[in-house]
Amino acid sequence: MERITERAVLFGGVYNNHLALEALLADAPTRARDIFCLGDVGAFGPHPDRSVDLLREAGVPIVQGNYDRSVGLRRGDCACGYTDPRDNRFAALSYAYTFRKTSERNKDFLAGLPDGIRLRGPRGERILLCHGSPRRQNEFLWESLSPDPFLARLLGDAGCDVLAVTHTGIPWKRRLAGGRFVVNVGAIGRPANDGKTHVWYAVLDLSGEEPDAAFLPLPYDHERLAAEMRAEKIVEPFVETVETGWWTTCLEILPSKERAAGRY
Amino acid sequence: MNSPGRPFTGLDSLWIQAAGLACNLRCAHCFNRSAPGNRDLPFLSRREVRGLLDEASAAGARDIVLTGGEPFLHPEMAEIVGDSLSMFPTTVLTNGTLLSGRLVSRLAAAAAGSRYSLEIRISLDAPSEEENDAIRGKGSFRSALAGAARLEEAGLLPIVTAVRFGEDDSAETLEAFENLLRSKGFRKPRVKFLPVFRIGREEERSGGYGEPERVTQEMLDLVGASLLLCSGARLVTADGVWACPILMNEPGARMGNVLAESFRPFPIAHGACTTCLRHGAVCANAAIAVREE
Repeated sequence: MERITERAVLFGGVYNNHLALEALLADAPTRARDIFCLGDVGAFGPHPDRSVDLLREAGVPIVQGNYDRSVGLRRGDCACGYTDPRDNRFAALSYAYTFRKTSERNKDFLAGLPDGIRLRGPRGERILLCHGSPRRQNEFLWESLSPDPFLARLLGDAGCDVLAVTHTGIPWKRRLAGGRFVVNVGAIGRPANDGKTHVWYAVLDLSGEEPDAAFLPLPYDHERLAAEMRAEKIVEPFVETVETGWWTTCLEILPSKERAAGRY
Repeated sequence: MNSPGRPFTGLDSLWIQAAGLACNLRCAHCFNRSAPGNRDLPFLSRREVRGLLDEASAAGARDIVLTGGEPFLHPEMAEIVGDSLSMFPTTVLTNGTLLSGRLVSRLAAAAAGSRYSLEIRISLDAPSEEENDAIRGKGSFRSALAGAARLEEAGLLPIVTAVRFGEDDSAETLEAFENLLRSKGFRKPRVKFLPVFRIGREEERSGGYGEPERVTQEMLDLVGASLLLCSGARLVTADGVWACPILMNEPGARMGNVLAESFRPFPIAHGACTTCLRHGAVCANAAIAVREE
């Protein structure tokens, strides 16, 4: 029996940012009773086990991201879906760190996560939570690359009315005809390439006439995260992003609109 | 010989060869033999392209790629780009030599007015004038760079796209391209590589694909279906619908007269398919298609 959900906190892309995750877990219960993680617990931040342990202790249901699958299955790379060697070079650095520092027990846990979670809304809306897209765990759904008919096709193929994804790291939402709805919840692991140090999560709201989502900024102790990253000898471009809010790596995958909005 | 195939997973990208095979350049490696005065393939009118956009929309496509020939030889290309951007993320593949200030302003206005990204890929085949012009023709280097610089100034972030012939170190060449663009004031240089396809004019230059290079199931298993254009894209020309843009002169790759009848598996059977399989994601905007061996 699927769970009925009217409001839910949705977040993704933890990327080992255990400090943002702590802040989220403190804040989320004031927003909604249901909390879901859309995957990628690991990536460029420090101490991967801390984030996995926090999520396990809190009992938050997690959708498997490409990182979780790769780490869990002991794969050689993150399967992030990058196609450019400049993007992949940095992706490989953070993957090697996360893989080395994740306990065997937590790897087994990540391997067993579901690749999607289905819920029901108060009016019977079919809700699907997944990581990249319903058809591919590492597909990037960018706002500027997602026309309405394409999104409608993804929803139709997946048999859902409301779709929530992450993977790209930049939040956006779209109302489609017929009361259907798509939200990319962004990431709590790194800022959204907007020059701000806070990160973002979403509250899905099915209590109104039409589905909607609110994006909430989540401040956390980013200076402490930067210090921890340096202590772990994580490369400086990753730390710069935490300190400035601008992406410094994995930029080639960005469509022109999203690329133009950032500093690099 | 039985050819292995991959299922057609639905139309993600519709390629539209609106400008036929007309081009103001005659590049030595051109896979579809575009050239000045080539009238083998008529242009598609703006109205015909609009019809295709509607079909793509009905099929739930993700993006449109406008190609040729040289798209900006089409007298209505700026309008076509605008039409496409009003419905889809849109990519234009151009040699960059016809990008006047006025045209760039119109493209920038269309991009700014759209919710979707406009990607303009400009072909340059070497980071030096001498090497580039030996392949693409005299004056093409300066003219394409000037066009790219106008786009960059207008905030359109062109993707410089280079065909690599495989004999050089791609990381070094990538750096040389980035340095070239930075020296011209590009703040966000974007560079993409394509492998050379040994068909069209290149076949005469370097010899075509021999029988041993045909596709096997084993090769197919090495690359994800999502990285193969033919599993989620089609090319429409004035002469019909094709499995992919590279194979538009190959009778075996013609999938029908209209888009709807082309939504079926393509039996991957051409020598050029091996290039795609080896490199993967060849046509994606973000792909550097030359893999380190």
